[in-house]
Order: sequence, then C-alpha cells, then structure tokens
Amino acid sequence: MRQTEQDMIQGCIKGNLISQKQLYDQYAGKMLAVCMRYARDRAEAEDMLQEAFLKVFQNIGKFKFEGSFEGWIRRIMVFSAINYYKQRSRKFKEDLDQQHIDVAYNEEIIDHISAKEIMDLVQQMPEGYKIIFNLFAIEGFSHKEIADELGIAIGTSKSQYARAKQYMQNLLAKHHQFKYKDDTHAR
Amino acid sequence: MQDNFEQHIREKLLGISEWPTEAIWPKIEEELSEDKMFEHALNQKIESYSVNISNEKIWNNLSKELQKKHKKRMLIWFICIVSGVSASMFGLLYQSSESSFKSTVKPVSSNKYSNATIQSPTSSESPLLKLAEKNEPVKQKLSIENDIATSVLQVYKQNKIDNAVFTRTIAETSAKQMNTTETTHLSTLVSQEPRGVNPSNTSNNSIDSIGSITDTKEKPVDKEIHTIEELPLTTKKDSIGNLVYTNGTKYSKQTDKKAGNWSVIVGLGFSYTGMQLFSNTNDGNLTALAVRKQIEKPAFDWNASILMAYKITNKWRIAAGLNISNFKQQINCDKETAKGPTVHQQNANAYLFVNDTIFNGNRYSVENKYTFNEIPIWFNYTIKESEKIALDIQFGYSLGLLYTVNAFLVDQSGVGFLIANKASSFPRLNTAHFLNLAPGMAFKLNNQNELGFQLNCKTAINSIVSENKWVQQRPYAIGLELRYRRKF
Repeated sequence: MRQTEQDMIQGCIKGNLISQKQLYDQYAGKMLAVCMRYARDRAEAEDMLQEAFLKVFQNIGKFKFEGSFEGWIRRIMVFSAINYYKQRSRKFKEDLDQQHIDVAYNEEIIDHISAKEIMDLVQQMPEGYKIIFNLFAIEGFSHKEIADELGIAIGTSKSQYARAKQYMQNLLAKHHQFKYKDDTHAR
Repeated sequence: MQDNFEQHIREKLLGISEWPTEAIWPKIEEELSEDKMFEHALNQKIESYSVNISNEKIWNNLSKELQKKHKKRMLIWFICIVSGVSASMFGLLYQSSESSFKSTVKPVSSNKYSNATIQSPTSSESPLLKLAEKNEPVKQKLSIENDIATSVLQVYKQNKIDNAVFTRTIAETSAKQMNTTETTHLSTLVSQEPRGVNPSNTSNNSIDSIGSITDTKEKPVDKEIHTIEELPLTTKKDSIGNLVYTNGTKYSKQTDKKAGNWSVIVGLGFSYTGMQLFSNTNDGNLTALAVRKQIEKPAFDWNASILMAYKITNKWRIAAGLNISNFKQQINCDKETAKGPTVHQQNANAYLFVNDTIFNGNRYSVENKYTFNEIPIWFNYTIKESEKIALDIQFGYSLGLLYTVNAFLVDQSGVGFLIANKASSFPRLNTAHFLNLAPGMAFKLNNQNELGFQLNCKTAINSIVSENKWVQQRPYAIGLELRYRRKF
C-alpha cells in the first residue's frame, strides 16, 4: 500500500527506511534529470543524486509542509549540483567560445524537439555555459542569485548567459536541421 | 484647529519625493528586455522530464550511507550515556569524599570531658543537643552512628570518669533545657559498650587519637543506629526490652550488619559486538574474507552474568560464575545467481547455498548470532573507595562455550552461503578463550548492597573457527553492564 506524501515525509523524518525508499522511488527519476543537466555524464549525475538525496533525508525535518515538496527537493538537488560544480571546477571559468550562427533559430524549432533531445543538447554545452543556462533559464534564478552562488559578478552572469543562450539556440537549430534532413533522406 | 494641523501635515508630506534604490530599475529593465519566450518554451518541454533509473545501485549506496549515519548516531548516543553516567558517578564520588573529609571527628582539645567537643556535623547537631534545643512535640528522627558513640565513650574512658555519671550529666543538661524530668532514657543514647571496639584497646588511647578511630575503618564493624522517633514524655518497656513511649513513639536500636567476605554479583548489559576476521593461510579464502569484511558489520546485543565473589583483601576480590554473552553481526548483501552447483544440504541445520555469488549491498539483510556460555575468573581491584562510592577495575579470563549459532558464512570462493543453525551441526566452530577488562563504579546503597555499572571490553584470544583453511574469526565486544552486588 502506497503512503500519502505527508505520511511518507513523516516516515522519513522518523528514519523509516521503507518511507525513504518510497520517496526515493517517487522522485529519483525526475531528480536524476535535474542532476544530468549539470553533470558531465550519467555517472556524475548519479553521484550528485546520491549526495543530494542524502541531504534530503538528513534535512527533511526542516521541511515545513509549506509549498511544494518536489520544489523543495529540486532546490536541494540544484544546490547540491552547484556545490559539485564548485568542488570540481574550484573557480567559475568563463566560456568565450563564439559559435557562428550559421543556422537561423526560430521559435517553432523547439516544438519539434523532444525533452530527451533538449537534455542531450544541454549536456553538450561547455561547463561555464551549462551551469548559468540551467540556473537562469530553467531554475529561474536571477543574475544576482547566480552571481552570489558562483562567486562571480552580475555582469559576468549576464554576458555568460547571453552567450549560452545563443549557443543553445544554435545547437537546437542545428539539431533540428539535421533531424529533418535525416528524415527527408529516410523518406 | 485640528483640521489645520492635518492639512499642514498633508501639505508637508505630499511634497516629499523619495527615489527608489538603484537596484530596482535594472531588475525591471531586465524583465522587460529579456525575451523570455525561449525560456518558457524550454521549461515547458523539460519540466516533467524524468530519467528511468534501471538499477538499484544508487538506492543501495544511499541506504548504506543512511544506515552508517544511523549507526554513528547510535554510537554517539551510547558514548554520551556512558560519559554522562561516568561523570555523574565521579561527581557523586567527589562529593562523597568531600563530605567524608568534613565529617571526620577532630581530636578534642582538652582532657576534661566537660570541655570536650566533638567537632563534626553530627556532633554539632548532636541528637541530645537537638532534643534540648527543640523543645517541641514534633516527630523527628535522629540517628547517632556508632562512631560518635564510640568517640564519646572513649573521651570519658580516657578520663576515667564513670560511665553512668557521664551519660547522666549530658542527659540532665539536655533535660533541663527541655524542661522535663524524664532523663534516664536519654542516657541510653550513648552505648554502654559499643560492639566492635575492644575496651582494652581503647583504654590506653590518648584523647588525640579519637580522630583516627573514626578514620580507620578497615575492619568491618556492625553499626548501631539509635533512633528517636518522637519527643519522649513517659516510657515503658515492651516485650523485647525496647523502650516505648506512651505517646506512641519509640526509641529503637538497629544493627546494620557487618559485611562479610562473600558476595553475589548479578549483571545485565548490552554490547557492541563484532568479529575480527582474518586469514591464516592466504590460500583460497581471500575472496570470502574480502566479501565478509564488506558485508558483516558489528551490532548491539545483550549479556548477563551471575558471579560469586570472595574478598581476599580490602582492595582485591576474586569472582567466578556464569556469564552469557551474545555476539551479533548485521549482514547486508546482494546476491547474484551464479552458474555454480546446486544447493547442497549437509543436514537439517547446516547447509550450503552454492548457487549465489555474494557481494556487498543492502538488498538482503540477515543477522549472524553466536551465544557463548562463559565461565569466568575475574579479579577485582578497588582503585578508590569512599563511604558511598567505589571505583574499581575488573579483569580476567573466561572460557566461552559456544551454545547457539545462527550464522551465514560466505563460502570459501565467495559463491554461496554456508548456513549453520546449530552449534553442534557445524563442528568447525568451537570454544573461545576471552580476555576481559571492565572498569566500573559501584554506589553503596548500604553496608550490604551495591548498585553500579561497568564498561565491558572483551576479546577472544583465539579464532572460533578450527578449520585453518576457512576465514578465521575472533569475537570482540565493548559495552555497558549494570550490576548489583550483595555482600554476605
């Protein structure tokens, strides 16, 4: 019998292993997707996930039952990923690669690309782009928050995001072009 | 008037303009200038994206970490409890030694009994004086220990004064203050001839030696406790010769029996128990050794003991009896079906599962349990002793006869479990020889009874596995035991 979310959280607060496993089963997939956006590969994402879930179980007593529990876990995942990034890179490295936009991006492109494909493209981004793109575009952090978390200037965050966005749009456009070229060839 | 005032204020305030901080406009500008369509579209796409986690590896690692934390927490609690109990016992010991120092009877300054004073809390609040001072019919219970009586008696003996005169004098003095003529019964407060003190020995003592009499208490002495339970008015003797007061109160004399050399000790405790694993041959059993080291973890279990002890000297005791000690290990493992032979059953209580490769994990959780009936020979040394508390250390040897076994032992090659459910069905497991060390503390409830605790440390000096080719194992334990001791 599955427990309600509140029972599950209460069970986790008491250290009940069954509740912890249920909570893990419920959120592991979604949270691994979060971690994969920040990680270099799946193995690293799994390490991040494990570390973050450990934090979730250790701090679950601090959850006040206000707002979304998934949002709370997600935030822990993101901060865990940021810490992971900091430990790995020590210092934020600005990526200055300027990709020539040889394929025009338009808003319709994204409708033709699946979530899995977007995830793969995010993972292909350079480190510096990836973290700022994730934090700003997906998690909804402000440049001030990003600057505080990564220890960089607000201006750096803004400029880096602008490049990252351009990079991503370029990747999406290229991917879309190749995808439909392949489909055309297939036909 | 009031309207003018409000208008005035309004005019003043309306003219004020305050600029917001500079941080606000950039935020508004950012929101306006950013093309959020892209971000919104992206978010919608990946919002509910979930990755399929096919294996249980992450959860296994996670639960292992959680269990580690749990065990660490339990260990911290255990250490806290032990430290707390130790600290409070030390505190009591310190307090007790302080108070026993203060209550030492000091040598009297004069050889005239009329001027003699016994300077101790009990003497300054002497029952006689107290009775005299508090001339009120309230129920009170006063006790004079034999030490005081002895000291007083020696004062007058040294001065060669008639006992009756001495006691009567004190009693009469008190009685005058109490405004009563009933005095004779009070004289019984001072023992005519206290037990355990040989008058011939004390007759030659100087007055100055009184203090040392109360200090020197190595020889066990029956203690007499004299009790008055209410202010006396009239007296009569009851059938056994005790003086009974007509208002229902009673003067009684109790003897706290001296403690003999024999005592019985009963203990109950819990320990963190494990197995030290090693190999004698380094030949063929290294896989099993590595796997067992990974999957077997120490766990808590209980132990109990009943011992007879004999007091050899004031500091040393020897004890023997029976001790039951349980050793438990938690086994967390995963199994993978290997292409090996099928299940081979030796007999009903020991069989081999040789078709599973065992490796570290959390999917299967079982417990190994070994129970030993121990025959111990312990020596106890009293490090420090006060009136209330004794600090001691016990050490010794015990012969551990394996009584019950419920063990899951990884096979030599790491493929399969040997499951032993009965000690006799698996002859490779045998007797253990234990070395024990246990510092402890005892709180003296009275002359005969003690309650205390000890920190048990125990390790076997031999492996309990007789087969040399198998992984060798030595049980060990560290734990806390509560003990009760009754002297005879």
